[in-house]
Amino acid sequence: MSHVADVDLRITDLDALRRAADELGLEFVEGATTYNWYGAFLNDWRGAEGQARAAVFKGFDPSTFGQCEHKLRIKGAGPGTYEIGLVKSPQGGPGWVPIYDAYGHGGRAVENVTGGVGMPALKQGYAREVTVAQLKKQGYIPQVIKQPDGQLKVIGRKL
Amino acid sequence: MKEITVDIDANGNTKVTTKGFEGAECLQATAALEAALGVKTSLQPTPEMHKKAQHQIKAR
Repeated sequence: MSHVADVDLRITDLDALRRAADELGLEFVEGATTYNWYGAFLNDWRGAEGQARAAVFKGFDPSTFGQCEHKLRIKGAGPGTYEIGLVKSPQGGPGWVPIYDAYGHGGRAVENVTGGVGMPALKQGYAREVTVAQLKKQGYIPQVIKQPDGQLKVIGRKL
Repeated sequence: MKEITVDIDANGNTKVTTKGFEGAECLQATAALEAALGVKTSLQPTPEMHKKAQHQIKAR
């Protein structure tokens, strides 16, 4: 079965993504044209969860599943391990959107390293790296503070 | 000292606050950050943002 899901995250800074991914145990493969997934679109993601998460219901063309412009893969994982493709959004706009097969062991392996459904750990890490890089670019000295509740506070200071 | 603080929750949602800026200077300082993050963050204006406008009013 295949449950291909896109993630609500717009990647425009690949260097920031690379750093965020590395911290999570993911390797960024620039220019990759395919990512591992079940291999066949079966249109089998039904029910409320499918309606909410399936990429096909958000305009993604299932004939393009498995194709990408870059990808993330779990470091040290064996062949066939599911991967995360970075693709253009069917809604247009800059950057790339993560997409992956969320079904079964393969999907859970991806979600385990990215923080779960919706990839919250990847989203947080990416936001952190983008923020730090931009603050430095603007001449601020950034400080990253991890809060007990898991939130991050990035403070940029400039005299 | 000028400060820009970005709070990032566990889902990657961001909130930007600034300190030490006057007038709309903070908006200029954070515009590039918002563009880099690719989303409109939740910006909470502080009393300092209105300082310059108040000075202009007093000067008339």
